[in-house]
Amino acid sequence: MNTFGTVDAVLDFAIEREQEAVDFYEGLAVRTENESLKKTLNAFAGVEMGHKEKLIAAKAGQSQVTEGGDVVNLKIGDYLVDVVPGPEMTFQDALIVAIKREKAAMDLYTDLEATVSDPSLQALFKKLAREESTHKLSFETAYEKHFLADN
Amino acid sequence: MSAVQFTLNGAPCTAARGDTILDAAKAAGFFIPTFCHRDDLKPFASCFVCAVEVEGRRTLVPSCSTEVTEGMVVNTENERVKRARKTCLDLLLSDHVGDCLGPCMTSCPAGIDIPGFVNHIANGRHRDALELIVNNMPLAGCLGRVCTRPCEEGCRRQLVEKPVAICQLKRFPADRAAEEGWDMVPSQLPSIGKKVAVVGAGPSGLSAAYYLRMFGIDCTVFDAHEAPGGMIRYGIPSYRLPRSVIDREVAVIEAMGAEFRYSTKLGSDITLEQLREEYDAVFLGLGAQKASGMRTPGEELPGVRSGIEFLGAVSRDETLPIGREIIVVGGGNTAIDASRTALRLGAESVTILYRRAREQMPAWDEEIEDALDEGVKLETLAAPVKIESVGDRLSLTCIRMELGAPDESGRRRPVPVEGSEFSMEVDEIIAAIGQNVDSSMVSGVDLTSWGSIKADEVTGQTLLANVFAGGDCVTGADIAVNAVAAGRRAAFAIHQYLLGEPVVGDPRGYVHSMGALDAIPEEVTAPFEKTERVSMPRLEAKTRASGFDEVETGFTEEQARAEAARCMECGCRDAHECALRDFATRFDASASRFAGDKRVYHRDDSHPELVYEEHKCIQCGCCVRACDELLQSPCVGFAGRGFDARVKPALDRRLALINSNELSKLASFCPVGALTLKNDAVATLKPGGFPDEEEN
Ligand SMILES: Cc1cc2nc3c(=O)[nH]c(=O)nc-3n(C[C@H](O)[C@H](O)[C@H](O)COP(=O)(O)OP(=O)(O)OC[C@H]3O[C@@H](n4cnc5c(N)ncnc54)[C@H](O)[C@@H]3O)c2cc1C
Ligand code: SF4
Ligand code: SF4
Ligand code: SF4
Repeated sequence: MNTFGTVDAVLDFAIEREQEAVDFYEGLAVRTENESLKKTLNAFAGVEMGHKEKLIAAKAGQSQVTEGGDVVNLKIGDYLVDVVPGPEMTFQDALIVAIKREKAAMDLYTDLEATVSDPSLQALFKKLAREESTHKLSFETAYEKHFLADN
Repeated sequence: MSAVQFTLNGAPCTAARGDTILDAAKAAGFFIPTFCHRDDLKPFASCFVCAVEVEGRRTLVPSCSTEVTEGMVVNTENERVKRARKTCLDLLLSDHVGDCLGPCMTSCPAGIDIPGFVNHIANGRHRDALELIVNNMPLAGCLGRVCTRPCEEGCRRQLVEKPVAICQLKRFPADRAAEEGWDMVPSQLPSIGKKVAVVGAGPSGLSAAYYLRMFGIDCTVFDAHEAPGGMIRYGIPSYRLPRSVIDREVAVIEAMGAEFRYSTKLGSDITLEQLREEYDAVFLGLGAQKASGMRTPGEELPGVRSGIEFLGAVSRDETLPIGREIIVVGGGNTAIDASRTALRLGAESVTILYRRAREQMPAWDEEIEDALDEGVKLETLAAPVKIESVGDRLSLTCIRMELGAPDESGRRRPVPVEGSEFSMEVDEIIAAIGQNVDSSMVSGVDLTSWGSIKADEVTGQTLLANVFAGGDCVTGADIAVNAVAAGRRAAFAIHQYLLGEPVVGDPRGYVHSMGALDAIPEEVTAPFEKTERVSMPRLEAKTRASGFDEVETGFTEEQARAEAARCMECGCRDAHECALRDFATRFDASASRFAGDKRVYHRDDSHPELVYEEHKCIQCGCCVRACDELLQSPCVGFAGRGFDARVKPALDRRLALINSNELSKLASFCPVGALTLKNDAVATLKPGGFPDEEEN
């Protein structure tokens, strides 16, 4: 049973999830000792905050959740071992965590799309899934650049 | 003679009546640039670069032909004057055609005087050649073997057929020194009573130590390893770079007085805080020591290790036992070196597994070819997804990749093909997918997100004023010559810092260029006949893969001289005396400020002793006037009038009549490189001029 009766409810849900992501990265940043990783995690939190603001603007009718063509799925995250987030993480770990979180969000919206029958809600979930896949791509691109340089 | 009182740059000044502003300003110690003015010739006042401001006059006046008058108020240094000079120079440069330095030299990150040393080799002067090289590159033998040759990419000779084998030639005089048992220890300045800690004895740290010692600065080099060289010892295998070559070049740095403390790790044995207290400055050349993990399930199983770990272990023991079948994951230098090393240790089958296509492999093409010739196999567009143990062997599951649609940058990126998994059984897996900087032990220094150290590009200075950094730890895994160049730049900056001077690094003078290869007029290369590039002698693939003997055996004397003779001596004979270049440097002039047609390239070398390069002539008239006024020979005159007037030397007839003495005088009258003597080599740096003659 899903509880998404309206477009606004869906957007509220998505906004809440972005806020959770902001809290997650900020929490990790506070716990980590490593200064540069702290910065990275705060930067990730900033990225998520940007996503949240975009959704708030969409809800207020000031903009649209972008529609667009297919986003390349590099599937790098699909084959990486899970990382337990913690203060001892490296930059590579942090990127893996970020990729996997975006993948989970992307999968979630794709699954939710299948649970609603209202075409406008379906379209919205599709757009949200696409949005998450662009976030995942940007993290996977960074991962490719820094950790698969020779691969 | 009565005196005149006037004001010069805000201060009262006296000059003899009849003196020009130029004379008076010079006498007072102010610098005013001039092209057309010479003390021994009548004033000409055409170039206007000597213009100064006289209060009350609407326009600037030429100082070379304006006499000082009583009460005059003159400014020779203010912003208006400087701007006017810059404009004058920008205009002269806008249509100027020439290369101050050979394009090879400007492409070499270390800035080695390539035309200079190559010319010495062509003439059999090995010592002079090595002396020039070590001005900019303490590791001639090492880099002469492993450098990835950015200089050759810029080499003009490729417009004729192929670039000159600059890099391999660089190793030649270093090899002669080793064979003949002599060293080239550079001269050092007296001690300035300061000491610097260098952390890392890789190319960047070694280079920093070398130049610090040249500057008379004491230095101690700390390294976690038990021997020097960094990745060129613990990464690059000995069949590419014999350890004796590294040892010899480090011995020179030791002989210069650098102290080395091995097996000493920053972070555990010493701390940055400690070094900052005990030393006047610190240079960090930590490299990119940490292998990126594949993060594939099973990576922790015995039999799986990183490329650097493997190469490091072999570097310590070239008889290391190895399994029969090996997979090396990755497509960079490390993967190629690891695979060729595995063969040499006796592995029967070595396969490189690479996620992208062959053309995208970051390893050097020649190295890939060498590996394939020796029997390494290549499996492209496949990536590891899982490793499991099967008895005492490993099973590696891979997935096929395909190149996806091009992204915004036009790159086609690999994407896994669902359901295409396949497995192989092997004895060992070597993961060489990239290296990262481990900077966890440096506190207080600003780092990038991925852990590399943030340092100024020119000076290497970090946010901590007495901490400098360079090499792979700043750039991420890169190439050795860039690390050497960074160490050199940082040493210049540290020297300035320790003397309390502004920290600006090693400023390079203005360099005019004829442009990229495709902009070079055919006339430049027309005089050169096609001559095959001399190939480096090397061991046969079959024999070499069974041991660690050096693959490339070095040029013979005859080969080196023949190859060096292919050099076209690009660069200007006048580069370190040219007034245009000097003033362009001083006044920060630019050739691109004014767009317009360039001069036509025309080089006349029909005269036995003199060369006239019309495209470099700035029409100052010095040569014409010198012929008229001093040599009483109308051998050079102006052709055309006004703006189109051009100096026309009668090289074939009348110039042939004047003697060599007068000719060289004539050449010396030219403030730029338009009239030069043939027997002056293309001199880009003054040989042996380091560091006392290093002025700009
Ligand atoms: C396998 C392989 C092959 C390569 N092949 C080529 C090639 O063919 N051509 C080319 O131009 N480049 C090549 N490179 C790259 C080249 O070796 C590096 O760019 C170069 O060595 C970088 O110099 P560096 O001084 O910055 O660092 P490094 O050479 O990595 O030296 C850093 C030094 O710092 C020391 N160090 C690090 N941390 C500490 C610490 N905490 N305390 C004390 N000491 C520390 C290390 O022990 C090391 O000796 C290769 C690299 C590898 C790995
Ligand atoms: S004449 Fe002067 S500015 Fe021109 S190429 Fe020669 S050195 Fe450079
Ligand atoms: S031909 Fe000689 S001077 Fe010219 S770019 Fe090549 S090496 Fe340099
Ligand atoms: S060739 Fe003569 S006119 Fe031309 S720059 Fe040289 S001295 Fe001046």
